Amino acid sequence: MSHPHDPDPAAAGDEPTHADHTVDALCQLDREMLAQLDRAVRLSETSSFAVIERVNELRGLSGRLMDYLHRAHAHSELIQGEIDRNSATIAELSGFIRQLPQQNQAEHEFLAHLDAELGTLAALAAAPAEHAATLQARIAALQEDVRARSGARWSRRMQSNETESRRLEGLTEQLEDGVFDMRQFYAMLLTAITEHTTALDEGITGLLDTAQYQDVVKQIVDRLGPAVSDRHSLLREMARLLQLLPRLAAGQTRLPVDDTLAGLAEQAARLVADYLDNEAQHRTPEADDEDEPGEQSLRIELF
Amino acid sequence: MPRILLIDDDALLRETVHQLLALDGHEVSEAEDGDIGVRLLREGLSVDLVITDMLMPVMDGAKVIVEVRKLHPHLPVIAISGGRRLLTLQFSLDTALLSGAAQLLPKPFGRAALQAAVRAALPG
Repeated sequence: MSHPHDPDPAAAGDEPTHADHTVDALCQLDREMLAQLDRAVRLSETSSFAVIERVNELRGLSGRLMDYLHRAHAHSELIQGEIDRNSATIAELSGFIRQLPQQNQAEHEFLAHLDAELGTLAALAAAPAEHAATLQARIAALQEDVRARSGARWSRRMQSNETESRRLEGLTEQLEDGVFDMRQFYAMLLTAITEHTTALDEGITGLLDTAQYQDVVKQIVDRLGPAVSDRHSLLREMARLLQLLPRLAAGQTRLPVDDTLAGLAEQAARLVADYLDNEAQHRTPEADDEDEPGEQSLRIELF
Repeated sequence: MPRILLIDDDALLRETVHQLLALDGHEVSEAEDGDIGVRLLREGLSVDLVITDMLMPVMDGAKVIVEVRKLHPHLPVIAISGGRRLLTLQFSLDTALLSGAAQLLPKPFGRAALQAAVRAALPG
């Protein structure tokens, strides 16, 4: 790729000139920059696909949670019905318990009455015989009282109490079962929702991680800027030198064009080397998969 | 020979399921509640599959599934449940699925259903 006006001493043969070296280096730089741009595009595509995939996963997770909550809501109405029934049971128990002191009081009063009567009878029994009629009358009255208490009405009342106690005992067992089920219902609901929300949270974190690849792409593009700028300076300098070639050929100038072209070739080679070194300093996110678990890369550049 | 941890508070069911699994060549460890089951795993019991009841005292099945997944994220869990008066079968199984169970098995179940669930849950 020699130029007819190239003042390079090697121009006479097939040896590449300084200008060739410069152009080759700049071509290499272009290839490296294009490779990095390709990489940025690939990263961007990978990132987009990953985002789509994660968003779909999140939508699936969210949908499952919504379905679950919808069904759990219907279930909670069953629980609510149970709570209402339990309230009624508790009210019944409460009513039964509330009337017990009154019932006990009546029993207590009757026993006190019996006790008082027995005391009177004991006194009468120890008294002279003329009180025998009174004694008999009091005993008859006492018998009447006891009969009244142990009569059909009293039996029915006691039987009713017994039936009520058994019924309330059944309700109490049901109440205990219901409370156990309700407790387990809410515990399980909470566990499942907490677990699922944790999964959603991890999914969102993953989504944010994926979104950070945009920053990697931006940095790759940003780093192209200085290299392109240096490349432009080189091209401008080379153009300026090329403009001098006719004058050099005509002997109108004695500028050290050759040295300058050699310098440009070196600059171009250094530009390529610097660009590659600089790129190598930055972590390639594609290499993340190669890391051992927990290994922290020194070159990670996300944010 | 796949090793299975079976967690259920019903001793009779544990015995029956244990025998069914043993007939298929599985090595079975038992736990009578979720807390004991999780403790066995935490203490180093190595298994290929966990089968857990959902409705148990002390630690319910949903909590068991979550704890198992924390200890061994890839260890599959089969949730079994018969439901109760207020905790319906549907709710139990929904909760198991949402908590991360790999397979669901409504009680009562037969040998074929158990075999199918174990086959589907075990990797490979």
